[in-house]
This record gives sequence, C-alpha cells and structure tokens, in this order.
Amino acid sequence: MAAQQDDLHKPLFGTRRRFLQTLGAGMFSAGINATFPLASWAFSSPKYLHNGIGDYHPETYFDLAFRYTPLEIDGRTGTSTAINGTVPGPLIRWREGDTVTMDVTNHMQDTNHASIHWHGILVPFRMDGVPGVNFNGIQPGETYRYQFTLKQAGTYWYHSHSYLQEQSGSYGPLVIDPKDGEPFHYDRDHVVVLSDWAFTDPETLFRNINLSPEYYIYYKRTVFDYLRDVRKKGFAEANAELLPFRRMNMSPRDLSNVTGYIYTYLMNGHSPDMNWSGKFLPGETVRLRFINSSSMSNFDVRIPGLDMDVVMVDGKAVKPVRCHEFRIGVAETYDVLIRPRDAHAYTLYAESLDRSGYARGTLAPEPGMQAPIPALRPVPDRKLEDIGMGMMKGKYFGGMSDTMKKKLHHKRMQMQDDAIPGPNGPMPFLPDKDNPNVAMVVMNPQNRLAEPGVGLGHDGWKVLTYKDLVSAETQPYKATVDREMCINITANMERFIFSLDGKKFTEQPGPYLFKYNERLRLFLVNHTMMEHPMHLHGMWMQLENGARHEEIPYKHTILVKPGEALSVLITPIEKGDWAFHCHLLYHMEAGMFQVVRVA
Amino acid sequence: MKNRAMKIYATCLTLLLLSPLLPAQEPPPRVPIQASDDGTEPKPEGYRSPPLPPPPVQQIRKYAEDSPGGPQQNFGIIPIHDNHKFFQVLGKRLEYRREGDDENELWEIDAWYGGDHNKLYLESEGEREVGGKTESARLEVFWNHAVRPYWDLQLGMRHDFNPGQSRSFFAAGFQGMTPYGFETDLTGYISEDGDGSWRLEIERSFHFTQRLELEPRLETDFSFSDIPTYNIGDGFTGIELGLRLRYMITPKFAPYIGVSWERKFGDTADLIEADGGETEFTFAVAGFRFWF
Repeated sequence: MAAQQDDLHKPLFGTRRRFLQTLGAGMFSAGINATFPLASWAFSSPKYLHNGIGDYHPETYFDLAFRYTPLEIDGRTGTSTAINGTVPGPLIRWREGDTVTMDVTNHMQDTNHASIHWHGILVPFRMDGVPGVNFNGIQPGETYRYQFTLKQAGTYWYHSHSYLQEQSGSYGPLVIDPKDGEPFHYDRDHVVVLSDWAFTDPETLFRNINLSPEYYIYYKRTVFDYLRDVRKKGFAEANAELLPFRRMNMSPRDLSNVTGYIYTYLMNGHSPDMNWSGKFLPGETVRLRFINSSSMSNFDVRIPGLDMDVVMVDGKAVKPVRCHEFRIGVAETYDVLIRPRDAHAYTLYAESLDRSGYARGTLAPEPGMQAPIPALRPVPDRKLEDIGMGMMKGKYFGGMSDTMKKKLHHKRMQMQDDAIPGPNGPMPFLPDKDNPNVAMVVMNPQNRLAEPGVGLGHDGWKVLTYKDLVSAETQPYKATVDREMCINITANMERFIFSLDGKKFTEQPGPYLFKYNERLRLFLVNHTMMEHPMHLHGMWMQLENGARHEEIPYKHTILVKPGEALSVLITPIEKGDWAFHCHLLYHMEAGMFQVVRVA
Repeated sequence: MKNRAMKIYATCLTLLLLSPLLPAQEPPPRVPIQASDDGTEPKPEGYRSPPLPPPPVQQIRKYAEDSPGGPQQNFGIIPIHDNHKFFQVLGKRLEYRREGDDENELWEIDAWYGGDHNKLYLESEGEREVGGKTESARLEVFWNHAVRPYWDLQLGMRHDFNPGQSRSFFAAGFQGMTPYGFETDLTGYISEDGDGSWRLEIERSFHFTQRLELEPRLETDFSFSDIPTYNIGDGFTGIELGLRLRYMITPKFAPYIGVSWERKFGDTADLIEADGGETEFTFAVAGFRFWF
C-alpha cells in the first residue's frame, strides 16, 4: 500500500463515515440517504476538499440495495435508481485474493429486475450479473448473493445491467488493492467517476432517439457551414468531401446520439457548477483513477498545466506513457499519475467527444481555489478518410454494383496494411442482400490504433493512443493462435437499429462459440459512423497494437473507431455464457449485443 | 400527342426516381474503388499478395447453434429490448392556406405502430374550407415493411371520403429516403373501378440554424385513364410545389410559414375549367408540424 494519507489532514468527513459505519449499513435503509446526496468517497464542497480514498480499506462484505432516490443537481430534482441511496453508488474496495460477498437487494417494486455487473472482473459465470445471460435478475424484494474470489487488482466499476437503470444512476467505482503492493509509487489517491445524467426519464429518451435519431443533436451542419467550407476549401473540394456523406444519407457530424443538450455531465456526482474538488499537496504524486460510467458519452480528459503519466488501463498496469490528453470511452478506466509542483488549482476537464458539454472538477491545495475552465473546442467534422470511405471522395453518383460486391466477398480483403496482424486479416463483410439493418459497409477498414480519434491531435499536445499502450503485466497466455474470428459492428442509425454482423441480438442464430482455453484472434471491424466501446464479459481482450506478444495490453472495453479494423487475442478461461456488447447503453438496447458461449 | 409525350415523360421520371432502388441499372462507377479491384490493376511496390482464404471446410465454427438453450432465452428473460414496439403520431402539415379571399385548411397526419421492420402505418390527408365543409379527405392504411436500409415497402388500401364521391383503392408503394436525403413517398393506386394512378411526394430540408430549416416540397399526381366523373384526365393531373420555412421550438413542435403553388394539367385542367373551376393557385400558408 503506497497510498498514504497525511495524518495532519485526516478528513472531517472520513470520521463521519466511520461513525456511520459503526452504526451499520442499516442506517441507509432507514432512509438516511436523503440527507446524504453523495457518497462520502465522492463528497466535496466549496469548504471541504476531498482528501482521497487513502483511508478506505478493503472489505470482504458489502450490502447493496437498489431504491428509487431523489437526486438533486443544480437545483433540479430527478429520480434515480441509486445503489445505497447515492449517485454514484458506494466505493467498493476489495483486496486481490480475497473471497468477497455482496448481498444485493432490489427495493424497486415496479421493476422487472435489477442486477449488478462487476465490470472487468473475472468471475464464475453465474456471478457476472447480466439478467437473461448469467441469472434471472434480482426480482423486486429479493436479494441475490454474489460471491467470488478475486484474481486481479486495479480500478474497475460496477453497474446495473437491467434495461436502462445504468442511465438513472446505478453505477459506482470499484477498487481492488493488489496483494503484493502497487507497481508504482504515489502519495494520494482520488477516484474520478465521469458520468452523464438526464432529468428525462430514460425510457422517454430511448423513444425519442428511436423515433428521431437527431432529437438531441444541436450541432447539425447548416447551410452556413457549407458556405464556410466552400470559401475555405473551394467549391470542388467542399463538395467532394461533403456530398458523398449526403449520398449515403450520413452526416459528417454523427458523433453521438445523446448530447449535452439533455445531459448534465458529472464528475463524482458533481455537475460542472458544483465543482468536485480534491486535495493535493505540492510535491505529491497523485494517482487519479478515471472511470467512465456514462451511458452514452465518451470523454476527452485533460488537466491544463499538468502532464499525465498513464500507468494503468482497464485495471491492468501499462508502462507509463506521458500524455496531455486521453480519450476515455464509455466503461474504460485509466489510472494516471500527476505530480503538481505549484500550490495552485488545476482543472480536471473532461470534454464530451461531440463537444456538447463537459464534466469538470478541481484539484487544489486549499479549499475555495479554482482554475480557469478551458473553452469547448469546435465540433469536429468527420472526413471520408476517417470512416474508411476515402475512396468515396468526389464520387457523387452510382455505387458499388452487386457484382463488385460479390467479387469482393469471394476473396479476402486485400489488406496491404502490415499493422493488421494475422495471415489473412478480417473477412470482408457483405450483409444479406439489402439488409435494412446495415446502412453502410466499409470497404477498406484500416488500422487506426495510432490515431487519436476524431477531433483530437490538432492542439499541439500529446494525445494518448492505443498504440502507446505497452503492458507491464505478465503474459500468462500462449502466443500461438488457434482460431480466428471476425465480428462486424453494423448499424442503421436512421432506423435506430444497431447490430453485430448485420443482426440484432434477437435475430442472431445462436451465441458466438469460443472454445475453452483456446487462443482466439478476434477481429472487430466497425462499419458505422460512430465510435463503439465494445465490452467482453468474463475474459480479457488483449489488444494487438504492435507490441510484442508478452506486452500487448489487456482491455475489457475497446473503443473501436469508425472504419477501423483491429484484432484482439482472447483466452476464454471460464466456461459459460458471457455478454459481448457495445457499452453505449441505447446501442446495446437497440440490438448491438451478443452472447458468447465458452464451451 | 401531348398525352403520349406526357406518358413517356412520366415513365422516365418514375424510372429515374426508382433508380436508387434498382442498383442493377446503375452505371459502373468511373473512379476505381480501392478495395474492390479485380486483381488486374498495377500494384504498388512492395505489394504483399494476400494468401488465399481457407477452403470452406476449414472455416471456423462461429455460432454455437446446436448448443442447448437459445441465446435469447437464458433463464426465461430476454436481456435486450431490441424489438421494442413504438407508436408515433406525426403531423407533417397542419396549415391555414389563403389566396385572396380563398381560405382553406389542410392537414396531413401520419400515425404508426410497430417495430423496426414491420409497422402498421396510417396516412391521412384532407382539405376543408375555413369553418365550412370538408372538400376532400383521404385515409390510407398500410403494412410497412423494411426492404432496404432507407426504404419501406407499403402495401394497403386507400379510401377517399370526398362528399358524394367516395372511392376505395388498392395501394402499394415505397416510402423512404433517396441518396442526398430526399424524403420520398411514391404510391400507386388501383381504384375499385380499375383505374390506375400514382402519386409522388418529395421533401428535403435544409438547416439554416440548428432550429430554422427550409423545406421545399413537391407533390405530383398521374392518372393512367380518363375519369370525367372525378374531373381527372389521362396523364399528369397536377403538381404542387411548396416552400416552407420552419422554426423548431422543440423537436416535437415546429411552426412554419410558406408558399404553395398548385396547378392542374392537361385534360384534367380542361375538365375543371369546363366545370367553372380554377386550375392554378398560389397560397400563402401558415401552420405547424408536430409529433408525439
């Protein structure tokens, strides 16, 4: 344990927390939660800086309960499906090697079920918490006991996997202490949970974007944007770039489905105005555990004035990479070390990918200090090249004929890209004839692991890419690949259909088959206009990003860019059924979900 | 003579409009497509020829289809709600129209219920004098089936409630979006008397700001036969061109103002004129669009 608190600065609130602890968790069920809108690990106020989670110790038993709880943000009150009465839920801290027990109770009488999925944790399949895949959910009034032994350490999170509960606040951070000590030194430890909150009922939100996919988009391209492009780039060039998008009935600004128009972006449950504030002392090394618990928002995180050393990604250690900004996809976690030398405030700034809003907090040595908030950058336009449609540039009429498509289908994609591993590369994809589920098929997907992503990399500072990640963990799995499989990420946003291989979940012929203990190379090819954070339950995906096999990074969630083909190596170590899905909540619910059967 | 030319023109127009639905008719693209070359074009230096795909027998088993228990029904619960049924009532045009002293009201309201691929789709449209009697009203009931990413096939019935002139039709057509975002509705009708006709509606909106949009609209009707009872002549019967400037207060409510120019053609125009009716109108319109 390297995270040591300065004893002189023992937190006021920490003692209150202990006081509560002695009273027992029963206090929460007595309705006391209304007086504590925030969990103590997240609480800060203009007069109180959070000291970090150094005095939270690992425990082996947690009692968790779902209840409808009022949540007040910026003077408005909404209803959340909170866990133990707070959004985010309580900090769960475990120790590697321990056997832990969690009793989870659903007190929401009108729900079909509730559930908790331990995101990124390797568990036996009945403990994974996806209703309809691993168990039948926790019915109202019932308690489900989760019990498993921890085989890993790091920063993770947990959330409900029942319908849209994740949107209404059923998530929280999860920290596992390693049994052999941390792989790096630090003096202070803060959890930074990013999330998106909407006062609109999530089911209404789902219906709105189903019926009108641009319902919350207020950065549509206008006639004036077009005229500006014409003036800047010339008539021919502006048309060559824009019109092929319009021909496909796409927009270069398909960046997200739900935006800051409806969302309040939260940092540890604080809106930008509430300004979550954490403490540091000049000269300290501070570990920040960034967790993206959003339903639909990818964030670009930076701390103006500080370098960040990324030391852990998705809970697994990587060789430290210095950067100034990183993109955190939904459900990813990044641990960074910062070393502020000066006694002034720093802004933790998480800008949403579509630039429609931000989550913000402050790190400061004294209460009441603030640093300037950077302006939102302009909304980026995707380029044809960015979505793997570069060959469409300047093509206004016609399309690929059926014969050409067939010809393409009958041979392997001509991967001249050495960066894509494997002897063959991914299989080219051709959906069933005119499948309404698939609006676009990318004909030359590319390796984009070295690209920072849309809207990034033009600011003159270093942005982390997947290519930079080199694992610092041991590689327990063999290098020889037994099988290769390709999964295509497909969608038709106009109809709000999201699918894998052109099929919604309920249209799939059966679960994907992974063989127990095999070494599988899985290609993921994104044929859509958006980034999709693909999450595999129950096993690691090791991203083949060009590092040696011993050093390829572990991931539980991978943000796949539009027009990207990437590959991961997987060793399924636990038999059973596991979910594989896009972690954008409404994409998952619209069909981008599959069951993987390990047999 | 004129009619024949009209017919040829109509057929050409139909083919042109249907062309996005008929990719087999498309000319080959002029620019060679990188990833779909047939192996004959010159290769860059250092080109690595891709190995052949494995023969079919060696292809991996991707699905565990024959495993016990389907993927969608573990533990009797479906984890994902991707077949959620929705309904929508969509008021496309509810407007007051005026030309000189001539005032009337028009509605065009759609409503549907269903899932991603199949819907029960109702279309209703009509006109009435302000505070007076209904001049025309039609109701169409369709089964909408998704056939292409952007197109629904519509099969169903239409009934006209025109006073004293009620008629029923079989109706079939396509509803969807052409490349470049033209919202299109093309429907063919066969009336109970065996007369054929079709109607085409095209709309496209252009955003000036996030909330202000301009929507040109074209509607045209074509008849394959003379039906003097209804003042309909062979060929194009009429065209309606509209331009509406809409301000989206919320996505569900957007008032607009605009102009609408209508004109009857050919024999239809002659028949109407013989009846003492007008064949050309220019309306100023004001109304709103809504959905819920």
